[in-house]
Order: sequence, then C-alpha cells, then structure tokens
Amino acid sequence: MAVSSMRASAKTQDTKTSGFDLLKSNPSSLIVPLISIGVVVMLTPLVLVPQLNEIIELRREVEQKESTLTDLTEKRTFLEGLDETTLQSDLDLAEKVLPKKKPVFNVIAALGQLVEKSELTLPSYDFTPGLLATESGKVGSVESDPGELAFLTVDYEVKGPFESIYTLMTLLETAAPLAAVKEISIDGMIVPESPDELSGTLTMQMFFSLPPVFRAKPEDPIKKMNARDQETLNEIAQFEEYELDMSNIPALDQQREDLFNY
Amino acid sequence: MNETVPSVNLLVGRKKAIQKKNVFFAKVQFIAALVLLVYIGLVVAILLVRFGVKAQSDSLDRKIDEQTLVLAQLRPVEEKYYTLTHKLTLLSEFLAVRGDMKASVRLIRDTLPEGVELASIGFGDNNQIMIEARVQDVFVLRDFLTLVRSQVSEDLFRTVNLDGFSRGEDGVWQLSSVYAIGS
Repeated sequence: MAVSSMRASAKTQDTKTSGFDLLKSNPSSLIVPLISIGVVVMLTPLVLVPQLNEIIELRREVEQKESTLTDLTEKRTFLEGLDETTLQSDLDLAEKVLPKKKPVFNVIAALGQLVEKSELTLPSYDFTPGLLATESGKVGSVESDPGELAFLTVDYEVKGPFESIYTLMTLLETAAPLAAVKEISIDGMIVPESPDELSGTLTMQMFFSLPPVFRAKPEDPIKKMNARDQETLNEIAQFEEYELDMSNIPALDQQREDLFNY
Repeated sequence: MNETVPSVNLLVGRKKAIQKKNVFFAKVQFIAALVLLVYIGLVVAILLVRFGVKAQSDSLDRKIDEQTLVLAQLRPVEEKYYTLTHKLTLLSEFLAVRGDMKASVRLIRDTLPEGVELASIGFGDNNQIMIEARVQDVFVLRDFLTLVRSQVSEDLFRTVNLDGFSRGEDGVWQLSSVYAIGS
C-alpha cells in the first residue's frame, strides 16, 4: 500500500513539472533558443525590414522603367518606321499652306492674284506687315508666339459684283498660303440699277505660324497624326499655290540682311 | 520464518523523467536551430531577391539609356513630325469652320429683305458673322426682324444678336447684328 502511494506521488510530481521549470533546471539548454531569438530580433529591423522595403521600392522602379522602356521602344519603332522623304514632303506641303514666317511677298502676290481671279478690280491696297526681324534678329522680336496661328492683314479696295466675293471666298478655300476674308466694308452701290455691284474694302488675312518650340524629352510620348490630320493633309494637297513672280523682284545683295526673313 | 520484504525501485521513475527531460531539451534545441536556419534562409532568399531585382533594374537602366541614345539621334525626325502634326492641328481647326462661313454669308445676304442695304460683313473668331446694314424705313426693319427670328427658329443660325439699331437724321436706320453659326 505504501509502495503504490509512493509511486503515484512520484508520477504526479513528474507530470506537474512544467517545460519552463525544466529549462530553468538546465540553463545551458537555453543558449540555442536565445541565440535564435537574438538573431531574429536583431536581423528583422536591421536587415529584413529594410531589404523588404528596398525590394518593394525596386519593384516599383522596375515597373516604371519597364513602362518607360516600352514607351521608348514604341517611339523608336514609330520614328524609325517613318519615311523621311514623305515626312519632309508633307512638312513642305503644310508649310506652303501655313508658312513658318511672315509671308510678306506671298501676301502681295497671292491676294492680288486671287482678287483678280475673282473678277474683282483692285484699285489699291493697304498693307502693314509690322515687325520684321532680320537675319541677326531673334524670332521673339516678331509679334507672334511660336507655334500659334498668326496672320497679316491687308486691306484691298475692290470693285465688282457681289458674286465675285463668293468666288473669292471659294478660291480662298483652296489657296496656299492660307488666307481668309476678315471683313467686307461696302462703300455703297456703284450702279443703283444693278445692286449686285459693290465698291468697298476687303480686309483679308494671310495666315502663318512660326515654328513651334520643340522641347520634348526622349521619354515624352509622341503625338501621332489622327484621322482628322490625315484628312487635312489630303485636303491641303489639293490647294493651289499662289507665288510671287520673283523675276520682277531685284535680287538681294548677299552681303546685306534680308529684311523679309528671320 | 520466511518473510517477504517488499522491494521499491524508485530509479525506474527517475530514469524515465530524465529521459523525458532530455527529449524535451533536444526538441527545444532542434526547434530553435530550425527556426534560426529557416530565418537565415529567409534572409538569404530576400537578399537574393533584392540583388535580382536590382540587377533587373540596372539592366533596364542600360536598355533605357540605349533607347534614349537612339531617340536622340532621331530627334530631327521627331521635330519634323512634331512640327507637321502641330501645323495640321492648326489647319484642321481653321478649315473646320471656314466652309460654314461662306455658306452663311450667302444665306445672310441672299435672304435679306428688299430695302436692307449691307454696309459691312465681318467675321469673328468664334464662328460669328457681324453685319452692319442700312434700312430705309421701319417696315423693312420689321421684315428684317421677322426674317431673323424665323432663321433662328429654323436652326439656320445658332443665335442672332441685334447689337443695336439707330435712326439717323436722314430717316435711315442703321443696324448691326451678330450671327453665331455652328452648333
């Protein structure tokens, strides 16, 4: 009886001994767990977290760079795919319709020819070209912002039937350089019996646009021509160019600045 | 007298307890070492991933530099293309409204009531046509106003604004109005 109670007591004592008590009884067994905990505690804030943050940051950068690279590659493929000869001829065409400088001589030539072609008589005209930069001048000295639609204004005194104004407007629709009637001032009826005859002043505009300032960076996306631009290109290809007959203009001395250029 | 003495072997329990204790210590050591190894493995893996991503980033940098260099050589082409599209945009905007102007001038002039004498026709920037006219008497002016009202109600013009009309000493009415075309 006594033996069995002693055994039971020893068993109970064994089961009651906790793991913590066991570890306390043998401190040397704590070395490895403590080292593990120490390593985890030290490496986590010093190495693991910064590295993880850096990975997240790098991944973000990589995604951004991949996107940039895709854009650059697309842009390069697009630009390399352009036929330079066609591009130059399209640009020449666009600049013929919308010159890159004040079309001083063209105004005199084109508008005069157009007015006459419309069967309007042209007693006189008044033309104020405004500021003209010289070869040594800066583009900024011309009163127009680069890339904006600007115009020169010419006042023509005209006589003829009103129908000719419509003819003129029709001709202007397909004239290069680009021009438009701004105002028709009618002095009065020339012949009271034929009210369609008019005498008045035609204020006309001749458009030009200084070259736009090109500041695009390589990574900037390229604005591609849309269907409307293509339609416009096809439309202006049909335009008739009115040029000044340069044979009537004395040749400029090459040693002197061309006042009509900049 | 042969008396049996009960024997108690207390070492059996003790031995078992020691064995159990040793197993426990071994488990603790093993788990701690395993945790340490796994953790170090994790750190190494993370470092490798970081170096991999960095290498990928550097490689992309090199590729971007190459493309940028090529694009710098293509800059004159890009500039020409930019100028072309810019001019075409300006032209498109201009040409889009010009056709309406001519048709509208014809409509305005051809439908003017008899007795209305045009003095000037001007073209505004926002699809507007301004006219100044002389009207001989008030009845013609009434006809003109009736016409303008009907033209707006028929959607021939978006709006027609009568800027003003005045009567001079000679009895002739001067009127100016602005026609807005387009939708």
